[in-house]
Amino acid sequence: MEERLQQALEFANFRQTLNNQLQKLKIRSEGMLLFAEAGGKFTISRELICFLDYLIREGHIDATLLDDNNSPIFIVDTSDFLKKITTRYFEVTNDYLQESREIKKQRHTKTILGIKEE
Amino acid sequence: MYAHNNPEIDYFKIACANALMVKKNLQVPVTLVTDEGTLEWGKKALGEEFVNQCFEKIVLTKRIWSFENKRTYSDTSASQKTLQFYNCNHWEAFELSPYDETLFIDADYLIMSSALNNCWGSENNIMINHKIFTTGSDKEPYSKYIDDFGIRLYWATVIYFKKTELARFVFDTVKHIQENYGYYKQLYYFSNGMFRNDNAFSIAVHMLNGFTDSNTIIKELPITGLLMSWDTDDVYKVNGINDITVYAEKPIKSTYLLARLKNQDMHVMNKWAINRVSDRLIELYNE
Repeated sequence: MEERLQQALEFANFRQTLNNQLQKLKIRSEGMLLFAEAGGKFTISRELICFLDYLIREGHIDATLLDDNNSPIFIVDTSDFLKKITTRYFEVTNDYLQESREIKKQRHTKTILGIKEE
Repeated sequence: MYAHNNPEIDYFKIACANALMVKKNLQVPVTLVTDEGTLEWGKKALGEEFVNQCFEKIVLTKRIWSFENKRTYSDTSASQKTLQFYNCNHWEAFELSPYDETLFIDADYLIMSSALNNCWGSENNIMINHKIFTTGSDKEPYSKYIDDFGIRLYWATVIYFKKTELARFVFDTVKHIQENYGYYKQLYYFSNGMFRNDNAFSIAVHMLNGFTDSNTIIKELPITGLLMSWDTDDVYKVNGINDITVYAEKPIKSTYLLARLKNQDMHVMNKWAINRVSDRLIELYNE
């Protein structure tokens, strides 16, 4: 195969691996942002965090929220719930940032995958 | 978890490795449903003490030898074999489970995270997933259908259920579909001849959702989707706890993309591939 084409194909393979690893990381992070509370399923989002913050500021100690399945879920302690979801949110997003930076700075397929020469 | 060996695939050993993974990541006890021959083989090969360490309870079922279900198993695109696939008793899980809340997991759905712990205490009686994504593609999680014009395909790989009336209805309906599989195959228009629990559960979900393609009664699991490694893929290496690198086949046959999966549960359909790394998995998770 012509050398330039060989190089192009190697680069294509590298980009494909890079994109695939980033995509798997994204899906894993999205999965970790799913939070189970009081029998309901909540996706931790900026919207949920802000809404809870609003409820707490308005003096709602408890509240009924609609979860991801639109089922009504009674939250006994809104402050505690907000604390738990914000903690999880930052844990997940910080890990996501660090790991995606690690992947993006790699320049070879092997190093993206952490494969060491034996 | 279920394990029924066939002449080539040691489902029992896969189940042992996965039971240790479940214990490590979900911290819940595991019950195995198996048959006498498989258990005897497993105890001989792995030792009774080790087997008892993997499972809290082992339920023996009578193997129906007249059940013929031939499946083409692949060990990458390069090798294929037609073998018996014994899967006719999954509907029994509802009765056989000793727990109030149960996660039914296929032995080859390797638990490498605590994501499924989100299920416990759910207000839903039964949950099953239809969204999947694959090891080698950068596609978002998507749904498949049992036929081009058919209903949504639900994967019976992982099912959460409580011992409630609705959950019992689903398992009873699956039993009925299995007993009349020829009829339902024509009615729902799917070509695959082999009995698949995925198809039976998809039809049951469709029926119990009021013959509609909606999630009104039976909801999805609290995960983004099931990560699938097809039987045309292979496992390159188990790097450590919850860390596996696989060869994912590209659309062009026998060309591969390497993908490293960390802290993500994965359905590994190449059974030989898991058998090849099961010793390593047992060694890692048995510490």
